[in-house]
Amino acid sequence: MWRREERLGFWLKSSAASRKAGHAVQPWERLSCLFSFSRKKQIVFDAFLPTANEIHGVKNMDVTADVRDGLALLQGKPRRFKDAGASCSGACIHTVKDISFTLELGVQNLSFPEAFRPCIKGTNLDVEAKCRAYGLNMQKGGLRKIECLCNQGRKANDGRRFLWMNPPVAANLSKISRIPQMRTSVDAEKIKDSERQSFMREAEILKQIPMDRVEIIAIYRHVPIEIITRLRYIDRNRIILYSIQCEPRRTRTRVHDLAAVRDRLSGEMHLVPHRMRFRSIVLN
Amino acid sequence: MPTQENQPIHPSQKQVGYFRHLKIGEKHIGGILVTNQIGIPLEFKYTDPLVATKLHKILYGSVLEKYLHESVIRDRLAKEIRSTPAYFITPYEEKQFLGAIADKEVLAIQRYPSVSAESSGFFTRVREREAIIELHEEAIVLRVAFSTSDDVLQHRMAAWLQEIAGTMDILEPLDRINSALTSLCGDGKKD
Repeated sequence: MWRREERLGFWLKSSAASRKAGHAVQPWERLSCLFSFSRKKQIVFDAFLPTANEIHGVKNMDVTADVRDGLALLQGKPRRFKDAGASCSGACIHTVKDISFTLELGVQNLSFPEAFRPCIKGTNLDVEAKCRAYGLNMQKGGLRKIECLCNQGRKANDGRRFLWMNPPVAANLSKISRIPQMRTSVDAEKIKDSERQSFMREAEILKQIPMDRVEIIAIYRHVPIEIITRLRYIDRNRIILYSIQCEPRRTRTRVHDLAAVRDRLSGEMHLVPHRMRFRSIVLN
Repeated sequence: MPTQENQPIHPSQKQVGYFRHLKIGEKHIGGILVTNQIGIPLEFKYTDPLVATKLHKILYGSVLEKYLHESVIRDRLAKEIRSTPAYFITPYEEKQFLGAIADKEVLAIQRYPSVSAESSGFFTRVREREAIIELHEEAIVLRVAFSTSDDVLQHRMAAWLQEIAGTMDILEPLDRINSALTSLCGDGKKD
């Protein structure tokens, strides 16, 4: 009995840290722990008094306890059990029960009148019985998982097909070789008189048109007359269209100046290359 | 007095490269033609017609045209070219997309109506990368945009242009590429 009381006193005076670490867990320690970490729990402990004689005639026993919750509000404010809703029943056994606090509790000092030698019995709180279980039915609650964007990015689709990388390239030399070349005339009005006279002489020699009947309509520069296969003069636009077929063994050719002349008498058009105005070209 | 010129062009400068990008409706197609100094085709490569889908337009946004011209078509064709022309010629409308083709500089040219009175010489600079070039012998004036800002290189390119213009119509092959690409884009045939 005494040893229990001494140990209770020692425990009450010790610090919270030493209470946690140093001592074997006793029932009242478990009680204290429950006080300290539970909220609105029913607290029941009984103070058994040894004999009925010792408390005969005592109507109201002062049982004081310092109830602290570790906060400043309740610190240093001892409450009497009766003030806190304690009740005494019976003549010999005072049972303090149904003490409810809404804050976390820690019992630090529990003193009784010296006339009494109480036997403190700590009873474990039936915490599980008192606590209500709130089952969180996650599945029935219909909770939905929000997919994080970073998780969504883990599956990267290949978007290269939406980009232009290397379009196919084809070669078709024959197609463009079939396209005729077009040549436009230089401004015939701006050519020198000497060049004009020379073209008129060429027309007289090659086409047998007297010089006074020759009218120079257009002059084309650098026409490869030696390798032309087809040539067409379009009077409306004063252009010539020609196709070229170059023999593989040919290594050189000449590009001549070419004049389009009209016979004033007959109105006939003639193409007259200048035999002396040419340029040699090396072909590969 | 008749003139007879027997000065062949240096062999490395004889080939002329032409590049053309066409947009026919929604189709983009590009082609490169390499000719000799009289316009005979030596090599012709072209891309399949490309159509920008709605997703393409969203993904590429404002750089769609530039990307199509430069990366998709021009650079792709440049990888396929086996000939080594001295320079490439492209229509003047392509000047905003000018860039080297297979490490060869490019000239964007168009026929220019006339030369102002104050212009002197055959090379008249207009901007840093643009000049008016008068081809005296052919009485042709060209407006030329260069892919390089190097002044020395620009004059070298202008001299090459004048040399080539002495043997062929330097603008004419562009019309042939136009006809070929239009035909290829229209019928979708490769042969």
